[in-house]
Amino acid sequence: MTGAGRSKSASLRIRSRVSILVGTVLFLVLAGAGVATASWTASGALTVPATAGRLSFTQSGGTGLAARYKKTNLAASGSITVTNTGTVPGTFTLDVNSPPPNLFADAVVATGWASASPCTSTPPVGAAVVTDTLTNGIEVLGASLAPQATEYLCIMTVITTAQAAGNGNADLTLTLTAHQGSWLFQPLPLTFSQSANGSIQ
Amino acid sequence: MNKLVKGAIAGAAGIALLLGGAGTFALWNSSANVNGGTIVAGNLHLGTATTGSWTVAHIGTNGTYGTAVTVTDLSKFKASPGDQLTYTSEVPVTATGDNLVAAVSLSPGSIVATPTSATHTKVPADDELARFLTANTTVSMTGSGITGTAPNYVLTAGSGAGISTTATVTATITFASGAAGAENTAMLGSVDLSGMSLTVTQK
Amino acid sequence: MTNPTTLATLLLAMRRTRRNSRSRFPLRAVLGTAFAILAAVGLAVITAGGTYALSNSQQPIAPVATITAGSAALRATALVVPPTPMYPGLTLFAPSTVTNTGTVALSLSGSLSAPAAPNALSQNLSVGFAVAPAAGCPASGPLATPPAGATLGSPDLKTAIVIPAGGQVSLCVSISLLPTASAAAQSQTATGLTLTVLGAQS
Repeated sequence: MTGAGRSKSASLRIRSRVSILVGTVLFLVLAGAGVATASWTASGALTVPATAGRLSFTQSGGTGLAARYKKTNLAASGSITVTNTGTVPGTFTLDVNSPPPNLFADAVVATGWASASPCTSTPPVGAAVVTDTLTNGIEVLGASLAPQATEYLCIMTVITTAQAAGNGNADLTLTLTAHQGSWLFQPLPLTFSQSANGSIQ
Repeated sequence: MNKLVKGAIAGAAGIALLLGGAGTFALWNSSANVNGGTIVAGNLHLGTATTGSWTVAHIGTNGTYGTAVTVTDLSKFKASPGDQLTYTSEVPVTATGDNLVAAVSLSPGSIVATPTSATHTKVPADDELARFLTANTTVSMTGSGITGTAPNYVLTAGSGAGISTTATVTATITFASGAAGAENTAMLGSVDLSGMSLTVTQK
Repeated sequence: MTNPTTLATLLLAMRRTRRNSRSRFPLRAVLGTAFAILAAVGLAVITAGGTYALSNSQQPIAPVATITAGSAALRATALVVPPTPMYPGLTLFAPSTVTNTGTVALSLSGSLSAPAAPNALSQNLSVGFAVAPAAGCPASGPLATPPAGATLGSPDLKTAIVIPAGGQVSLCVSISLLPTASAAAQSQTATGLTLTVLGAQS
């Protein structure tokens, strides 16, 4: 073997020794890396039954809000019966307004509150009362209703004597929105017409 | 064997003696078989092992084995991945000749799937357990005149007189713990160790 | 130990001997054969390399013995879930007793797998479990109550629950409809949604 040949094979031997050493070190490092020693596994399968409910509300009543104002009758009121007809609880709001532009509606003042019992002329103690013009609208907040439960929304509208002497009309729209989490439900709105005709007293 | 060849060998032996070549003479001094048998230049022999004892240790979450505890009744022990079983017995070793380097290991067939018998029906888990256990065995040997670390030992026999000692032989069987579920196929398997033996191969 | 080169050389030597058989054991023939054999033996020793098995000893060391492997196994009682209709944000609880019927301690985790016919309900459920309180599992509760759950496609639920071999643990399995579940989930029934309680040797 020539000098060059000998050093080449020697360096090959050294190289292979080094690569073995590196491989060994790598293996030892990986082995000692704190890998979890979990080995055998077992399992049990459980069927998960689940049924989702349905959000559904109804609103009815409020016929007293269909009004023909006179100077002897400047106010109107209606009682809306809200019932949870679904299978899951839900909270709700009632929006009462009249679509603009409407000068008559600008002047009608609506007031509303929620009641656990049928409406009377005054709100229950501690009830949250909201009031504003029909054009601006009011939003009455209802409670959380369990399925089959009922709540009453009491709405009152008033105009001034001067308005009663004039002419005008507006359609009240009552929009109920029930919600539970990301679910929403809206029954058909209730609509009532109100008017004033000063020539009819 | 051909008469002529026999005659030729006899002739060759005679010629070898006549030639007096020390190296050639030494070859023919021990048993020589031209058909390719064993050529012995030294003598290494293991005697009958004593009945040994079993211990088991289990690997911890840090990757090191815990303290080994004695297994009083192997038949009642349930092995699981991460176990390291150790069987220790005493084996008489005699060796003559120059320093002998030997590799010690468990013989093939030391750990086999328990065969079907009146008390056992062989199942695939038996083969799987045998596969896992056979994959990781070491044998260590200590004793007077014996140095080295598994699997290679040096028996410092010295020329002529040789050594005669009792070696403590420890066979370690490791049930390695792999990725989750990797050894599931070995559950409830059974292996037979009645064929467990040491192979000492002189190097 | 037979070296093919040895055999070839020997055969060559035998052939040479036969050719010269006319003169019975002429010295030249014998010498030639003898050297051939010596060379063959020498060749066998040399060609086998510097490291060769000179002697081999086998010794049985173990008495009749068998090693038997244990197992990892668990059993979980079926879920009886309250029939309450679910809505977004609701969590229902159902108890399940998990028994370790194997020979190694098991560390529990859970994974959720989709049913064959998924729907808007099954795709929006989160299922988890935790050790039941002493008073037992509540029937239902808001989302804040249950432990973190596993949802389809999310990583497995990890817990610190370990059951020793032969032991058992009472769990409360929580089933939650995510607050973001779409209205399409209403009135749906989830069929075939499976919670797998996984035990890993610990």
